[in-house]
Amino acid sequence: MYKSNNVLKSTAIALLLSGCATQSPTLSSGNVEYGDSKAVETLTNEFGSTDLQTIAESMASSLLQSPALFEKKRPLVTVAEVKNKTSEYIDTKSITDSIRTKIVKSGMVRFAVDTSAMQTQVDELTRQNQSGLYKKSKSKKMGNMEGADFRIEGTITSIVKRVGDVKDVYYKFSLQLVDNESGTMEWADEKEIRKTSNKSMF
Amino acid sequence: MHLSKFIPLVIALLLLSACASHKPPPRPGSINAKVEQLSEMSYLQVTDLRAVKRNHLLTVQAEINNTDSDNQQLYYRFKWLDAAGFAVGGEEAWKPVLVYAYQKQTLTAVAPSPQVTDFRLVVQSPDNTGDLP
Repeated sequence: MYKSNNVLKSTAIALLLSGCATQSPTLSSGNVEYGDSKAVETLTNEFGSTDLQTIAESMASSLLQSPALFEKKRPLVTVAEVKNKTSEYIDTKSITDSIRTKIVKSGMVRFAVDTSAMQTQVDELTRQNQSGLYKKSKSKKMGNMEGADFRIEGTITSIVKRVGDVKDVYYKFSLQLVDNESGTMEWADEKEIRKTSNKSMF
Repeated sequence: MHLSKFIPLVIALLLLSACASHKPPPRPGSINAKVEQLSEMSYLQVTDLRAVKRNHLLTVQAEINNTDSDNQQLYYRFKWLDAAGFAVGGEEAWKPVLVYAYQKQTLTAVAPSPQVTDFRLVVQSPDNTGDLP
């Protein structure tokens, strides 16, 4: 009788404690793990994910506060080229895509197809209007595309300096908003990033 | 009366209490109510926090004070919430900022959407006590 009481008590404690533990729904070899895509990455001092994310957030929030965009109700914007003038390969389209996504999610701006997506747009309209496969009443008409009020363009530049084991990289990302009709620059901003690495062990 | 009968129950309750936090909730409207520290920062403090709506977007400014004689690294990001307390705009990236010795650094951020009515500032410094705030 005394033994069965002890077993019951032990079981109760085990059940209570199991509330603190969780089982992970994973199947792993132990060599691969998921990390935080938003973590600060400092593996090397080349252009990295944190730089891309920081630039995109900074530029999107600055652009959303631009009086030029605020004064017009949901203006139409297109993305022109961001020139890479650094010594390394940087996918500037990826940066502008992130900026565009953040701005579109705000619901305050609309985006027209940019030059890189124009061929796809033309192909789709041609298919709907000239292939003979679509009902005329249901196909999207040619000649109804809207011209963008503004275009976004910019540059990314870098200055790299090395002294002994120390390497210093300075990035400057400049973006501007240009009124397509008047050709005037309505907004501009810059984001600067400095990264320094030291190979020395001591 | 066998006191030994209660010993396992007391042990279980003590062990379970480790899962719960005893810290009282911060006062509404205080800086602590808007700041989430990932462990107690040793030398950095959020000393001022203000928010205002500009062009329909919530704009936040935070002041970070470094009380140490060395420069300190801070990592931060904002969480944006709508009127119902739901997160808006997904997770922000962690951003690094260097706060010079005995200096105050200002952080500014703009909400990603007009739906945002509230925010939390999440901060972490590598130099910390390791204790939960």
